[in-house]
Amino acid sequence: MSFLKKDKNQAYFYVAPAVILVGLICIYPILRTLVMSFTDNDGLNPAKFIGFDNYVRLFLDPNYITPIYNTIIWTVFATVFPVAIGFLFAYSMQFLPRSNYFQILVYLPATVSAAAAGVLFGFILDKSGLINQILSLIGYDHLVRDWLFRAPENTYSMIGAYTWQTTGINMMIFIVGLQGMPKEQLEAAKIDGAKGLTLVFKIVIPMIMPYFVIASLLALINSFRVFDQVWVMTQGGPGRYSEVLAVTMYREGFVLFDLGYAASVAVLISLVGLVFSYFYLRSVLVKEDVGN
Amino acid sequence: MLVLILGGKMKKILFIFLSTALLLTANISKAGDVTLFHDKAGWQDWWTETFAMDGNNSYEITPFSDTSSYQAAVRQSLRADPPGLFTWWAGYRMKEMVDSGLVEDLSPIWDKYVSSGEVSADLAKAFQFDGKTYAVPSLIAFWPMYYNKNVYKELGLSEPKTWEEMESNFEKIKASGRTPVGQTIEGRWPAFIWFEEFLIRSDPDFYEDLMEGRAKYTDPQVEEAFLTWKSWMDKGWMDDGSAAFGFTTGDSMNNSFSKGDVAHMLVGTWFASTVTGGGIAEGEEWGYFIVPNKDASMQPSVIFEAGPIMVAANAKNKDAAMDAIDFWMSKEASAKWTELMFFPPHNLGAALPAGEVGQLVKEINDGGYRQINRYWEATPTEICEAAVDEISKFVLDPSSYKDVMENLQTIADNYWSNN
Repeated sequence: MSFLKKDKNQAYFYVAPAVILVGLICIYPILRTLVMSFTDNDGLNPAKFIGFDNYVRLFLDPNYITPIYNTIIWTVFATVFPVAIGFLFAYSMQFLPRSNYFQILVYLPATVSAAAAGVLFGFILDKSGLINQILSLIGYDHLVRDWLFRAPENTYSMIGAYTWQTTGINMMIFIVGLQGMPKEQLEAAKIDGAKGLTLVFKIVIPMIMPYFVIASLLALINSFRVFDQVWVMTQGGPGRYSEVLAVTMYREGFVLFDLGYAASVAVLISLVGLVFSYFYLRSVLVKEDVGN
Repeated sequence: MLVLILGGKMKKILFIFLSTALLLTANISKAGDVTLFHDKAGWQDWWTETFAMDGNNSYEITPFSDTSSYQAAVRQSLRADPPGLFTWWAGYRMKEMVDSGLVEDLSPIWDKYVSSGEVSADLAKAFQFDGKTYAVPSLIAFWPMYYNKNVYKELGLSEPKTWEEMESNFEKIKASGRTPVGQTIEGRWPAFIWFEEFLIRSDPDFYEDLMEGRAKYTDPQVEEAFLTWKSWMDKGWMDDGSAAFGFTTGDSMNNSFSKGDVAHMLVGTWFASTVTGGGIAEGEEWGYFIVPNKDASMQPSVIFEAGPIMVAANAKNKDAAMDAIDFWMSKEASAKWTELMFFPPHNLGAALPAGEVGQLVKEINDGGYRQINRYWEATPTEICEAAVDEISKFVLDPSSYKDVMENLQTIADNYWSNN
């Protein structure tokens, strides 16, 4: 036990369980996936090393144009809308009495699982669902349509459902940012005549910009690898028109059991996610340094 | 997802963990000679009840509720520690396992039952490769047209015996403000249903050639199938395919059928209880007919679907598993299974199920129907999975049929040039 008497060794002891867990359930599978992406693994026969064949196939396959396009659409709109609306809510809440209740209401969808939200919106966006009923009721019959059946409506409808679910998280990030904003500078700007949108765009947003960066990068990472909503609502269909890369990975892996190829798609998604994560972590760590 | 990214030992640990958890939570296992894995969790009691009749073996039956994890688990286990018996999908969906030597040849058991006249040799077709049979059926289903008898009664229609009579019925149904035929592409796979049906009604030999790569998706027979389909949609005889498949409430094909808004739908016989669950009585309010051939002089035919049970070649208890398959093919097991599931029996000595399914099977057996394997199993999985998305594009835009035909042929070429 003398080993544990040294402070440094004790630290290793405390950190060890976390390191082992992360290594076992995170790092090891990542490395295995990377290795698998260079093989023809089909889950049935012994895998053979095939070099970069899966990656070459990935970039030459015309079937990937739609999933890549849809993933870009998702990444842009499922970042912009939840972040912008989240900020709008957070900023507006400052002026509302008993805003806590509104915060809970807006945050509540974030507690629902993505799959459950997908099922719920499947009904809402159905041909005879709530959206179409409301549109008919207010006299907009020409807008009634099968939201999940036609492209590109299905992709944008799913982004709408996703926005409903993720806006609350962004709102919370911005509330923290707004609460930590130095009041003196805000007051000084108001005395100098800043108000309305000028105050928001010239003073408030620049002051909480680190929070915008964090919320945006987090939203980017999540929207780029979106899977649950799409799989539950359309399975990427009809005709692969609403497919995103994560659904492609799942189809290749668990429908066609082309596991090596699916692993190469997984690596691509992870690499892009890694780039976003790098900037995200850098923003967070820089912010913490500033705080210290 | 985890199964995809884990390595050999990790997969085994995860597999053992999942299997143990399932066994503990489902409370269904007993120590036994024969293990059975299946992905039809709802059938668990029926499996247990049927196999309980086997005096020679005891069974450990493990259900999986998710099809994808089931497939991953079975595939991973086949070289290491496989179950004795497992359910799978027929035709090309089991071919990989056959080619890899991972499943047992069950021909001797088939020979025994076919030579005694208890089982029809036709049934083995879906499980045969190079003259050997690698599975026995757990599910047998035919694909007839369900029709709403209330609508027929109200409009004074009778069950059609010819293609022309059927189209004439559609015209009258359409004129009454209803949709004659429901179709759906919900969940992707149902897109092939009408594609295969239109093909076999004109040229079943061509259909089988197409499935095996001996014919092309750009051939005139395929164009004719798409054009007939398109004309039905253009005339408003079919809906746009956007309705969900089978929920009994809401905007689903089955619900529209039970209300009489849709008068027909083409589905497997396994859908019967769902139709009745929609609120209309089997026999009195809904019934079956088999879609007539375009040319009445052709041999009548019907699409069939068979779900296989296979024996893993590396199973520790292979002899007991083979014995269990022998029991499964017996009249007693088949009669019990039919009584519980209402599926057509695989043993000819067992009584037919009651109701519409029984009458349909009798018509097929007595009428000399040619039984044609379903598209999902009859053509390679790689073609089928991509083709259903292409056919869906046709349903979305019927005028795109020429592009769809070209794309289908490209998919087929990619597969057949490498296999």
